[in-house]
Amino acid sequence: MWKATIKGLMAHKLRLALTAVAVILGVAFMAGTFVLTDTINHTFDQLFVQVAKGKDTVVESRPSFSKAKPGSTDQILAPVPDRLVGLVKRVPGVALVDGVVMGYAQLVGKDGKAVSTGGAPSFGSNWVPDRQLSQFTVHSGRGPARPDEVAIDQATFSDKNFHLGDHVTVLTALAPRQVIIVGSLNFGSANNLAGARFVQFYGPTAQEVLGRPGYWSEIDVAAKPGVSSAQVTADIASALPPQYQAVTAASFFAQTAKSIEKFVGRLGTVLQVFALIALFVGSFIIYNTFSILITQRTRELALLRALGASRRQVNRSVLTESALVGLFASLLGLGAGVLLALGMQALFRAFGAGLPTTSLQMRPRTVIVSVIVGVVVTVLASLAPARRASRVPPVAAMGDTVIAEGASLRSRTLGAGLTTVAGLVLLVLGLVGPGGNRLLEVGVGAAIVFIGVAMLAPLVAGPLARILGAPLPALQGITGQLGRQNAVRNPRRTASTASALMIGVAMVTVVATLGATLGATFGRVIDQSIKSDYIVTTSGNNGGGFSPDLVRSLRAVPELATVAGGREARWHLGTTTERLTAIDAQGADQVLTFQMMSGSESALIKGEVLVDSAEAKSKHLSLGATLDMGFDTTGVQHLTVGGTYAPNQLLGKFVVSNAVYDQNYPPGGLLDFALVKDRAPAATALAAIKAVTKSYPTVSVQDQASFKAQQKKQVNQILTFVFVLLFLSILIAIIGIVNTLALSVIERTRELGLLRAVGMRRRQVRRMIRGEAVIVCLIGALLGIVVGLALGLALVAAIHFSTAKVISIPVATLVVVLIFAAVAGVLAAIFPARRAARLDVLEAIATA
Amino acid sequence: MVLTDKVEAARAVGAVKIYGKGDTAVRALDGVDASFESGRFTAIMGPSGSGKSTLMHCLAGLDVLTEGRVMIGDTDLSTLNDNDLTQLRRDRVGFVFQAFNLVPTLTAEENITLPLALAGRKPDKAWVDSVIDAVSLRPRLGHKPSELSGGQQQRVACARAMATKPDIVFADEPTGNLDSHSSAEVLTFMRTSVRDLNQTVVMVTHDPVAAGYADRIVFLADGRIVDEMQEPSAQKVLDRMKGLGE
Repeated sequence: MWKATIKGLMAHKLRLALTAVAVILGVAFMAGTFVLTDTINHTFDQLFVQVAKGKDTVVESRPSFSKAKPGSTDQILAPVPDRLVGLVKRVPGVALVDGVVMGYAQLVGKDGKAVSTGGAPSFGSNWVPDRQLSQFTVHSGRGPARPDEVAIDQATFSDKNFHLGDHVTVLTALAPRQVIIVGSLNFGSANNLAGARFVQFYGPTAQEVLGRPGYWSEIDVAAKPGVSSAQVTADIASALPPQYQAVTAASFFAQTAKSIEKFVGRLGTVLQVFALIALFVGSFIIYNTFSILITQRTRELALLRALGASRRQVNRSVLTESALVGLFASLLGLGAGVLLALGMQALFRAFGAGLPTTSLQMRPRTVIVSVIVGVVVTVLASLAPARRASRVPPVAAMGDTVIAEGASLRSRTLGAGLTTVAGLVLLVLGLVGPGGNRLLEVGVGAAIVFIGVAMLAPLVAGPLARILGAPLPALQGITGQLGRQNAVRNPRRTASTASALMIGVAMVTVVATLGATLGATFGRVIDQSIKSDYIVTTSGNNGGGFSPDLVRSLRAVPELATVAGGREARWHLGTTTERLTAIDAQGADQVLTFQMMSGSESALIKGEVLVDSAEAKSKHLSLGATLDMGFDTTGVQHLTVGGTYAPNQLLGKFVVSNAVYDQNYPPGGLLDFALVKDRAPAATALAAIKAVTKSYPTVSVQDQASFKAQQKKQVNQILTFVFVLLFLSILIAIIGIVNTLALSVIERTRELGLLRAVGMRRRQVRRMIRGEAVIVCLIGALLGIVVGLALGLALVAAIHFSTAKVISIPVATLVVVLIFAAVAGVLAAIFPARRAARLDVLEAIATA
Repeated sequence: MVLTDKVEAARAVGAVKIYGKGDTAVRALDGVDASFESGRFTAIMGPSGSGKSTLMHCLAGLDVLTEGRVMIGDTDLSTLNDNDLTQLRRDRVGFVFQAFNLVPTLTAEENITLPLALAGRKPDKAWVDSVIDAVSLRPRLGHKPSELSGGQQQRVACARAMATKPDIVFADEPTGNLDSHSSAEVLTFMRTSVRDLNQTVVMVTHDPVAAGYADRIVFLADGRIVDEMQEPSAQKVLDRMKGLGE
């Protein structure tokens, strides 16, 4: 049997190659993501190993609330005072001690624009006098020694054409500051810090502009020769007051690297989800190809049975064949994945987010997982076709016996219906049910729904093809009619081919529905809750906000009536991390409409917390109740609930005043937005605002209409990104259509020969196949849109936005999807149509 | 127009067809000169491998000669490209094959008018009606091929072949898969279409009984025409074939 399997494989090389492509693409996506995330993680590992060099101990504040490990970026700790430096210095075994302070700092380039990099942060720190404790080395000039001096990274220095002695502006949490560049720095041997840009200040200045005068973020220690890190760390720990802790530098920075890797890992997970979707779509293609091949090989299989092969042997032979295809495709996919990762790396570099070059990381896990997933998906998808193959009766070898088409229609429909319902139940449980792994439930539920709908699809494929193909006979006469009939003649094949496309289109529809609803809702929320005339936000992509100093400056402008700044921050409620909005309590009611359900927004002034009414209800928080809010810096604080407001996407679930923020968060915090109400005519007021914001080049000022437009644009950007990720799934589905059509052409060789003999032109042959392809694509798109809308609306209904939820159906996008599907059909038909048109008439007729 | 009945519908001149190359080359046609008069029913007979099918394929524009010429009416097929050949087959030639004559997704009526539909021409209603009546298929017009018997399928194929009023109809073993009763129906139709509808039919066959319906028989052996017979009967054909050593 083994020999027959191999021979069978080799005989159908082309068909199997097309099948393999579906697996190759999915596995490549998966392996590429593994390689890329491993490589990025390795980069950060190396980076922080370098940071830790020369240091033995790090001293920092003990987290008063969070249980995060020392060095993790999950927590923002209270700063440590200068006096601790002196204290640590007196510990025996300590050689060098330096405070380090880090915070937001961004240079303004000569063009007046803020220097930014693709996504990597811009930060400032202090020039550490003890060179052994710093891996920053002077490339040109020297380190800063006076309040008005800075040294910057060599990458920015050369890219932005700076010179030693240049006077530049640097943005920090304080007012923009004029400084002189006195040096350019390398980090180790690299000219930047994993893509990040940095500015180093003179120590006391750094404390002032990045944190708080007299305080450091952490203290770095080097031990005397012969004293171990562990020893000196233990000695320092015993000398410290209880609110501080000492950790070995190695473990501290390993933790920092790990918490960055956690973020990279999350990004990787998102990509892997799309890889799995692509493989899921690929499994439909595999199922379909194997089904068709088995129908076409009925005689061959029957002959094997007649010659004495058992059912099990036939079954196993087909499964072995699929396993071999899966293995072969996975290995190719693995190779393609490495190329993909290389390409992505190059792309990152092109966008300026250049990571220090390290070799691509190919871990055993990447190989093992990719190959196993690829093989398992292929084998699972061919289980049903293999079973069908084993049922071919030996007598089929003798003539044109028709094999029974599996189970009866009724029991099939019942099974399909039950599958769909089961998927829906799991999906709904994931959406609204109690806890558990909701995302997994929703994902698996959706996958089962797709399988169920794909099983139901043969019922509707025939009528749908007839309806969708209705214009074809009118437009193209007999060729159109033949194309339509071909799409109708085998509903099962048409359905399973279209189902692969359905998945991608459904995902696009879900995302588009979600995006449209989000955009529309946000628009309404802005209308309902923002009373201010202008909205100030950061326009850059550096994720940082702007200095609270901007709000102070705007308050001094006579043309403006009210200015209120706000920001978002993390806090802890028990073991969960929550978010809050902190705003200036004075004037908040002038720029924002709180739809208060109880209490009053003036409670903010008293230092109380306002809670979203839905959240308040579920947490049993009524007016006057106490909310225990945990902060990294100050521990658990008991705040009084001063009011509840109608759910509002803009404000989030909890609102406190900026005064409360300042008490509980470390210094140097930036603002995310400011709301401005004018008292002068719009033109005058806007000019006055712009005069102030001119020195804050990261900031943009918008009126409500353009702010709304910008928010919509941002939603659309995210949608575009998701569409790009889904494109691979759709591409695989299109390859599946090419595959099915090509196999159908082989199957209909004789009929094509006849048509050619009685006078069908090549062009007409091509047109006929094109018609069929377009119909199949449109069925897939239509099914996808229907399923996608159902899932999308369920999702939208289940998600807690705000009371002002505006459910919006992205009609324009869906029309584009349909047009795209039709075009995809035309493209998918190119290869099969050419093959069909080129058939030798005589040979085709002679084909038995 | 005294010579009307002598007009040639198709003619082969010095037709040579060689398959393969070098030592393995096979001369399927070895210099055939034959002409097929309009309005007559000609049968081509010969043992397997005699080249009778090859001759028909070349005459019909399905295959290309190695040497020599084939004419359909005044048209020299060697001067035509694929598109012209396709158009010729569609408009001026009719086909009946041994099996798989019909497009399974089309009804009997759609199959009959298929060449006209491919040409984008309106069928000549009266003519098509007379053809359909001649094969007595009117009650079965709306059926798909799978719902028709083998004999009915071949009659649909015959009607299709005639529907365009072609210059010539080629039939390749049209009764090869039929029982004697159905065969008789099909052959009678071809016979009457020639006599009453003034069609021209060239039929390749093994079957002396089938050949007996023809006006004239051309005998082929080893790629050459070896004999001819006018106004045959099945018995005469059998005798002649014995003489040819089959």
